[in-house]
Amino acid sequence: MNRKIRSIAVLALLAVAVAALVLFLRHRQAVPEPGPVSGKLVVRFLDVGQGDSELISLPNGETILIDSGDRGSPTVELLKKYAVKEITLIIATHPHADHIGDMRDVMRAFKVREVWDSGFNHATKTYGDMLQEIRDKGIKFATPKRGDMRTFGDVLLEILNPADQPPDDNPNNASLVARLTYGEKTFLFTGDAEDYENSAKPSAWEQMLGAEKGKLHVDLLKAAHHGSSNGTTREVIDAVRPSILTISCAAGNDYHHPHPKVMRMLEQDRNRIKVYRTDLEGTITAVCDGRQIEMSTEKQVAGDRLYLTGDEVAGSVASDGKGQDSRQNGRAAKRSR
Amino acid sequence: MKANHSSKVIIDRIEGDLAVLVLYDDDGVKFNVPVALLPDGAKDGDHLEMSFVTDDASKESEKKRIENLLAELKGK
Repeated sequence: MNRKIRSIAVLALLAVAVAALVLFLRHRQAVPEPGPVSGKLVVRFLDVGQGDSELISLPNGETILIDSGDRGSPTVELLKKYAVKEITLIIATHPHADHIGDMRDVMRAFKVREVWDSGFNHATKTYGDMLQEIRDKGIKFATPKRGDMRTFGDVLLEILNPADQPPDDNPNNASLVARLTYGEKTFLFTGDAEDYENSAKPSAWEQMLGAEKGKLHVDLLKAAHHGSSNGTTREVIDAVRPSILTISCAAGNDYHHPHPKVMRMLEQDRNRIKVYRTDLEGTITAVCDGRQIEMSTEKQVAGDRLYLTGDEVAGSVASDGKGQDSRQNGRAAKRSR
Repeated sequence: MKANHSSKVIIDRIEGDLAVLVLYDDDGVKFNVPVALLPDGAKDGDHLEMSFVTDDASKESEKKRIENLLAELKGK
């Protein structure tokens, strides 16, 4: 008898514990932050680890997603957190996995109306699977070229790259580069577009610099190729003259992103260019009313740390043990998918 | 116990001296390999057969060498 009462009590306690856990987890689920803000353009450089993903909430309520980050990154969770319901347009800048790896999951989680793709035939399964998903879902598909544009209410989206003929067989140079204009303010999303510095070899940047002449200036530049030395050269910075520059990469990445050359150059220009980076500050948000851009970040970082190179960040991450934490988080996130 | 194991991998991209390889059967599995260890001219989008072969003879000879060294050092 006693044993029966005890087991009932244990069961009751267990039930209470499970209920409490469920409530706790539901409570912990992030409350969606406002997505579209009427009259404002909100651009979020999502912290997806080593990769690129930019979420654009347009003043008219529509949504553009540029790149998805790599497979296993928290993109879908982040889109939910930022109250995405439907995606008007996905831009897959180019078919490397750190840009399109999570596309299939995004297309499975949200209704997507249209996809713009580089059309660069990169023979990977990741890219093939993305195209298959677009085909299976019957999503509208296009491969725009320089000169193509579209308006979303008061916002203008222009494609600056690739030209009709990509410069070479490097997928990075086939990157769709998009310029967004809202009122007086402009944003440039560059994928992994490269510039072969001190070389006559044609590249994406060289073609854009040639085609745009003196008109490449924008207010906010997403540094191409995660701050690598071939993405952001002196020539590019001098032509684009941004007042804000963002870098998307992971703390402790294996690829030396961002590159010392780029960080030295940005440090020289620190009075003219404000630098933001996802590896140190998490998701970066730009809110624009057409006249001004207001920046905010998930985490606060002392100014001088913003100029650390990728390897310096990797070193400090390894020594304070955070590297291991983030790797474990990465694994946990992947398991729960 | 398999004496060797072979899998298909794809070069997703090359970042400087490192190639990012993705397992064909599961693109959630990726790892870096120095470009110098890949066949000449390997580039983005190439598919590669990757093999691991257990070399017991090599292991045994290393074991023997260490055994001799340990014996010699301990004997002193």
